[in-house]
Amino acid sequence: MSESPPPPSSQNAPDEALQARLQQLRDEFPEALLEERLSEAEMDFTVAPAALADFVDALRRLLLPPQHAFCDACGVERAEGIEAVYRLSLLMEPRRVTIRTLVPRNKALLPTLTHLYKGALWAERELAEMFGVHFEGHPDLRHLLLPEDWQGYPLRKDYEVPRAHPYLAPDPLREAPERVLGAEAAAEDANS
Amino acid sequence: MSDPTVGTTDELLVNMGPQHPSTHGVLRVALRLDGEKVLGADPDIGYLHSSMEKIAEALDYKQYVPYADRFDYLNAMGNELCYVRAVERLAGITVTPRCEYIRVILAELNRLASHMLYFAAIGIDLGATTVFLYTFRERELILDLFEWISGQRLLYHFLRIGGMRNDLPDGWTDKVRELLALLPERFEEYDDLLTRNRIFIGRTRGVGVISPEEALEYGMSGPCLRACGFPYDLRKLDGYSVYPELDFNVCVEEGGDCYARHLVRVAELRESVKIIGQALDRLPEGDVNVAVPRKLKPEAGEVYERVESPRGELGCYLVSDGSDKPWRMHWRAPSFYNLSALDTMCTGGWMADMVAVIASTDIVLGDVDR
Repeated sequence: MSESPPPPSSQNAPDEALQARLQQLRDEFPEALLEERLSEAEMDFTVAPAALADFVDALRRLLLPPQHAFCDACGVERAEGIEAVYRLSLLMEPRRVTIRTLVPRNKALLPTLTHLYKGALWAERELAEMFGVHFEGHPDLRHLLLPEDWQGYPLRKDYEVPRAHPYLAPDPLREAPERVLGAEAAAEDANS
Repeated sequence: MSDPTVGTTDELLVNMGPQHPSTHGVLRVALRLDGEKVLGADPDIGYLHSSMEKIAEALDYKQYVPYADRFDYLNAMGNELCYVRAVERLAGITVTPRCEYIRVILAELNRLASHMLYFAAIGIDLGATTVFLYTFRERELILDLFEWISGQRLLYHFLRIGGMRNDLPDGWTDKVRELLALLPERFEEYDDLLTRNRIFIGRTRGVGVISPEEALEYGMSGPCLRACGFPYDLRKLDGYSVYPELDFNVCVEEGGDCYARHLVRVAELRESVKIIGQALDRLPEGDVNVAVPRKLKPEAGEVYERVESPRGELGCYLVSDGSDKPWRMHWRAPSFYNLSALDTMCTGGWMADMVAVIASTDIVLGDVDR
């Protein structure tokens, strides 16, 4: 088992060791690490989609304490596409760790993080069904919250909310009144 | 010809739920069984999915508070607290000290009520029906307090962005103190009935074990994670609201089994009583509300605000585009992640243990499905 790095310092400014490891991370992903926001309160990285899994793996190895928790994964639709936001919880300090990646709407493909965190199993399932993102390598991308035959991606902004309830039978009084009221009564009804 | 005296077994698929008295809501678990041994448990959720995240995009911030109640419906005050704190942070609103203290008192009262219901539920699920009525007797007193202050017993719509609906009625704090005075003795009663009950211990010790590493990987939080030995409590770690001014302990157990999770909640009951007592002592005078613009349009940006709900880390991720309606609202639901570990906790155990494990994770389906 490789030696685990000490946890990031919670002092006022990131200390030297932390800076060195951050630089190592930057060196490993010169093109994929697109943006970073670092402060005492947070570590927020934006990466290119294809490098997501490798980046998170390297992040774990270099910067995070060995005992940290998966927190959350969700999607946000932005102007340029769908952003997947992953959060990790550091148990010993309140600093937030966030990893973001943006995929285009018509090619929403991401590598899965399920081999790193089991919490991603369900979180990615929900992201997939709500936003239409496909996670390559995910063992089980069935619908989680939605019925298995649901069409469309509800949380996308261009989703058309169905007007009629999809699982109710049509109202016979409206669709075929003559069968319910009788031919004469239906005709009267229509004329009045 | 095969020996007719030797039986063979087939793998059996049994549906536990969605209509089931012990699944704590509409949850379907597709169990694969070999006789009574569980080979796999696949939770099928979504029966209570009400697209609350999508609805948020159509309502303005002030209209959403009653919806926030309805996620974890046993912790409505806590949900509201998380939501209004998120909006206040996004909009740059600071509330008064009196407001903060009252919010903490209400959140802790809600924690008490929620844990008492957990006691009742796990007792009745495992057959100890008496405990149910004992804990509900005190829970009714708490719900009476909530009804007095907000008009509602369970889903309050009480907290508001910038404050709350109204200040405390006269005599409310005295009634709370009366309740706090009688609770410790009642907690001993619950423990006599359940925690120190040999049958209960037999049904929960060593059952539904999850290792600390797996608990972290699944994203468990709250009592489920603290039962694995991690002192992860957002009230201490983040120190939000006025919790840093109050003195209380984080309740941790080792073992990661149902009994450990139970013991964490038993301890948290007593800690909550301490917290409420201190908050009442320190309750400042003053206003509870601050002025908030009629049309609340936070600046474009995003915030992730989290609180410690009785189930774990409840988070509200709010993205604003500068208009009066949220662009995106996502709820990090603790029960969602706690439930996702069900397969790991149940596989290899007995079918009868399914009930104990589901009850000990203390899930609320409103939280899981949103």
